[in-house]
Amino acid sequence: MNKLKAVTFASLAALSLATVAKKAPSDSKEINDYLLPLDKKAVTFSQKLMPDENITLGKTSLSVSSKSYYQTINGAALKSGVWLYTTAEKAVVRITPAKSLVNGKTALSKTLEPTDLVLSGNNGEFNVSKSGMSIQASSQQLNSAHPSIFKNSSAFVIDKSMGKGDFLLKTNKSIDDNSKYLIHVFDKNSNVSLDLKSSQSSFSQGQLLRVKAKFSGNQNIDYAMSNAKLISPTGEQYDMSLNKGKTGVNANLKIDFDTQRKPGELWKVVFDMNSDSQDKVKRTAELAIDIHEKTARIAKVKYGNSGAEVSVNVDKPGRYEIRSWIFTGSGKRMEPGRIEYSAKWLDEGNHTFLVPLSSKKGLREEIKQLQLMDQSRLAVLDILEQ
Amino acid sequence: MRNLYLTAFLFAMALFNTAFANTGIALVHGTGNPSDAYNSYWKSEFVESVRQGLDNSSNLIVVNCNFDKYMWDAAASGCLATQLHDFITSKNIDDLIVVTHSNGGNVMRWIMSNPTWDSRYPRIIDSLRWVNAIAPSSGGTPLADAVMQGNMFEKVLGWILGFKTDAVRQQQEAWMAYYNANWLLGTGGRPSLPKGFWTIVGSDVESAMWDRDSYCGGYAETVGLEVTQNWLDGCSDGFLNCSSQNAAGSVWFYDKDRLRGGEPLNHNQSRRKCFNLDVFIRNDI
Repeated sequence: MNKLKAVTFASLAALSLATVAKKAPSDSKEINDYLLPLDKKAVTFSQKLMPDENITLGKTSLSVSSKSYYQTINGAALKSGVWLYTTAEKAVVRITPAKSLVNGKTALSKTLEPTDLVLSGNNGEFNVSKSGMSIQASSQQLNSAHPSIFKNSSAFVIDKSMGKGDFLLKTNKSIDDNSKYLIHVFDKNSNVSLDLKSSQSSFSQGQLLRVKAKFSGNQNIDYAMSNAKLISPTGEQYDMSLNKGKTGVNANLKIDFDTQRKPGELWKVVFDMNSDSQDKVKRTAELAIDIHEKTARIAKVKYGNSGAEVSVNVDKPGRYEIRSWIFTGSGKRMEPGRIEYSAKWLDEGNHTFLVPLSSKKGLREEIKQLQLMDQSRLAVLDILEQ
Repeated sequence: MRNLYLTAFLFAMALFNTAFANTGIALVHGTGNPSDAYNSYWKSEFVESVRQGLDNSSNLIVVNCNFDKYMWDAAASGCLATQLHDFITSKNIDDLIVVTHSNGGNVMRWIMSNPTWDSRYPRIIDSLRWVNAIAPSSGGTPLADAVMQGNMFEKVLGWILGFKTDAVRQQQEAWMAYYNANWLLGTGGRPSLPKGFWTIVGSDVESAMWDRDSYCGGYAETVGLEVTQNWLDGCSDGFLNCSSQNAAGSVWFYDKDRLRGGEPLNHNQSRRKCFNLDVFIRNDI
């Protein structure tokens, strides 16, 4: 793409009107962990859009696809052997020591290196470090690649000659029976994935959370061996009920619990699914969503000669933004024109935002979408399509 | 015809502005909390090579902020805004080029996507010519997923795999999908960013012992990135899939298409003086 072309439009954008109001509104003393310490000045900004921009309006859906699963096991299980399930060759296996209680004290389990592991399958038993496993990564190698990510982990790729299917992984190293490990299996070359979808990405108290899940291909779900849960940013877990859908399964949960979270931190819906086929498929998939407190709402939109008045009811003080997606046209055809942003600190009560619209003859401007954002708590509160 | 004249006029104005502007460049690091990104993150050879492209060589800033925090945190985007705002104000910069690496692209995109968040943001956006985002983690990384999955919180033990930084949590693919859909601009189906966001995509890791190019940026790092490619797509730089790097903005170029010898840039090399990357950044000024 030509950068000079972009300069032209960048210049157009530079013509945007950016104003900063002089006065900050009143203070609020309800500052806590769940409120970002933001600027209290009112700020507006206008951003030009390209007429041919392909913009999706309305609530945003989210989806995710997984070819991996994980499970937590204890030292005793790993010494006697734990089954790994794959549906394609060259799966990637990672072993990470977790914290556990040993003699009443919290301890990080011993790191296991590829030399400590034995893998057996249809083609015999192999020491992971001597079998010709195509890649063995010691904990030191992984740690040097990404210290903040793979500390203490080790990994290997199941050699192509060992094929696919079920494998027994065990260690001969002396480890405590109560030690704990996370085994992560990435079935990278498989054509079977677990797909999750939610029709919206943001929820508030009182709403029903619904997430659909299905295996790609013709795999059927083993309901007795599958579950779904919602996990808060701080680790609280809520079981979700599973209902058989037309294709796959739906997990549902009424959000009737405390939804406080640090601004911006997301909840996750975690599905652990097994297939009922002879070649067992095991997958874990995680979808990130926001669950927030509904601190304000758009009450009314009133159009006048010079623009629109957007009324907002505020329950909790904070910094709020109205984002208006404005389309323009002279006939029936409407194209993206600009986004008007306006943010200010609002106390509890009713407030109004003004959205300027052109009153030029022959030029029509319409607000196609309005968004109310709680900047202090990082929540998208309302999305209204006009 | 009128539109043609208008476009030509605006194009001429843009060139005029660029030619007579006071140009500055800011280098914005990725995940981490460096106190001396000049030496520890970018290295002096890279920075000094880029500086040669400026008419006024003092118009360069190497940003140091805490990008272990979430992108909206005052220590991340707040700190970046402070350093950029002070830079353009004190030096009267009206033509700012920002060069980001990795997660630095997300923090910069936060500022560009949320212009009313902070009263300094509009001035920064208006001063921007464009952002050159080298290997940005716009779509997150499966490596962050891998390390966060299964990291349960238990009352007695805390996080069973240990606490991971905010930046690692943020760069999970599912988390970035949410932020891209709700708070950030420039990805598919979303409005474009107010200024250009041009990406350089690193597409492979080459670690042959006999190839001296494998040693640029450090051989041990290159070998480590080759290992972590196992969790990534065929097109990846050892930390990010190409699909993440090109998820937002417009592709400026893929490494192999432009760099010396058609070399790929691994995720470590894309912040170092490797294969003429510095020359492309310098000449872009």
